[in-house]
Amino acid sequence: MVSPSHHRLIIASVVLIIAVILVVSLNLQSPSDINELLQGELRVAVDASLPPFAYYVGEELKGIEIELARAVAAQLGVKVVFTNMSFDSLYDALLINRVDAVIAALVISPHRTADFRYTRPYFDNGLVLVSETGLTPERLQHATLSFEFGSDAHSFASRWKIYTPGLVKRPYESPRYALDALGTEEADAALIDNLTYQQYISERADTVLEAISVSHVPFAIAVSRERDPLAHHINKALNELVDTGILEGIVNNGFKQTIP
Amino acid sequence: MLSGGILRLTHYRGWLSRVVVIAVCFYLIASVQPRAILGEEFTVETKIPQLCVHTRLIDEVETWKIQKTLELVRQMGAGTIVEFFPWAYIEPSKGNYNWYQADTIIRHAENQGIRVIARMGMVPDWARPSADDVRTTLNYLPEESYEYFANFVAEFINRYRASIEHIIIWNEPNLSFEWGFRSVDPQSYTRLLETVYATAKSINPGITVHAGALAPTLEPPDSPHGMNDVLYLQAMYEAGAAAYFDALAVHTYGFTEPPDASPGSDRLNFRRVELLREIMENFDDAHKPVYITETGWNDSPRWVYGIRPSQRAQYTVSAIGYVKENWPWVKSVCLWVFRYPAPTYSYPDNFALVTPGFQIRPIYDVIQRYALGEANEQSLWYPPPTTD
Repeated sequence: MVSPSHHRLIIASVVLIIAVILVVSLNLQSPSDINELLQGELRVAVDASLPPFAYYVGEELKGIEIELARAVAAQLGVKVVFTNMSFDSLYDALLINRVDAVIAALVISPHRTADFRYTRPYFDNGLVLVSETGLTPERLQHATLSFEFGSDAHSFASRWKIYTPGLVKRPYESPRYALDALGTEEADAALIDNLTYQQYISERADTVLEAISVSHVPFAIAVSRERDPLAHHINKALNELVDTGILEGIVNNGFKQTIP
Repeated sequence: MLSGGILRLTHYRGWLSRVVVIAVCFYLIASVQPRAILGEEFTVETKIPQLCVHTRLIDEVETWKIQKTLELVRQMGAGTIVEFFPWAYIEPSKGNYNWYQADTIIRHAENQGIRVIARMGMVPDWARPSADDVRTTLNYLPEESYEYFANFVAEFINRYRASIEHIIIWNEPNLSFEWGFRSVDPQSYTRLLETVYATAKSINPGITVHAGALAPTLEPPDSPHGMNDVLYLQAMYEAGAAAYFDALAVHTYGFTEPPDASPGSDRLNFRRVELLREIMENFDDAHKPVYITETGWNDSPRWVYGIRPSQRAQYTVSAIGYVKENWPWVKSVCLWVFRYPAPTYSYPDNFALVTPGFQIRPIYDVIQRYALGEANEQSLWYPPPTTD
């Protein structure tokens, strides 16, 4: 028999243990307090030479990544401070703690993961195969493929040609000409980067084209490896922006802006 | 005991034979990897003796990739490379040198008949302040370590006395990032030149010491990011730098302008080198040659300073022609960059002529035909589509 006082003691112990487990698990989800990590501001390095992701209009920073940084900071409950840098100095700025995060069209680089953490991607700028009929790479035998001379798509097309001898390569001076060639039936399919494609179709509401992803170039936010908890918080904020559709809105709106 | 041992041996014999078979398989697989055997010595055939490329071989892990890169450089018609020889790699602890990679690069360059201009920089941990005191990058060289750097340069020159005739002291010291995220300081850079020059000349009086290698930039006064290259060169001369270098290394990029676009103090383009040359003339230093150790255009579709790949191919060969016809004082035109050992996954990849996987980009073919004196007769792309 257990006496009522012992019973209460057991219940109290169980409640205490559950409370401890909850606190520990919450701490695991949020490894450190965001205010301890950031002192009220998220210092973000951007590269304002990459429209529509980041660019200057007069003295003002604009672009998809500027809006993304603001949205992440809002999720974290801190203000955002931008520093404009060129590509060469971005990673070093993280290493010496000059900034907290880099949002600059950085592609996840396996060579840098010893020093840096990347978040989930927020945009994929891989190549897409565009056609009116949803052609896939396997169905390109005897098809004419347009692309921009000298671009990554050109390299891809040259490789495909090895395995698909019947493929006819048709280089153009610009990626838009390669897409225009679909309308004039000079090409059956165009190979183009996703960004150019998105911008092209956003300007032509009446154009019906199908795009199939053939490579991945994922843009992600980078944080120093030494600041794992911060990467965790930013990733969580990014997930929230994806789940609520805010990120998609930022990206779509970014493509519609007129860039000077 | 003995019989037990024999039994155990018999028991393991099957495993032993399997291990031997696997080891032989590994050996055979390893032996089919490309090898980098030095064969007959080559010479570079070219109509453009000034043609040069900046390579990135020091981070290449496999020797056959160094050899293949240099073969492609030679076949393109470039007789000179600029290559980085980081102090931090070669002297990782004070007085202890690891020359393996540098030896490999220089040996293979010589085998292909290619001259090497050596770019020196990157500071080892032991020559920088302790990380407990201040966090610094590999570009942070305190003045108290200038002598150490000079000693390293002396060791380098001495080792490659028969092979290396040109060294570049530091890279883009007018950028804060390249100066260890400190305020840039042309007077301090001049003191660095002074320290290194005397030591280098004492080892090999025939060595050509290059200064400058300044980044083209229009940074305004008091910018935390750097200093205008023309103003920086002026300040170097005012600090007495002329006595401590034999040639000016210049970085001049075309950005979005064609190679014949006029230079100006408010713009960045290929002919910006003329503004630097004016400074040399103003300080009676025009007898010294100029080496363009970095130049080129970028064809990233995203970068605001990028152009179309078709324009890049045209501009690049036109720029080489412009140098040949107009600037007799320029001895080399080095294109940034021939090939990276690994992708940067950003717009810098669009400076390269060959991919990390050795896929040749069309611009390589265009330059090669130009360097070999062959005409680019056929159009490289189709005309814009029209609806009529």
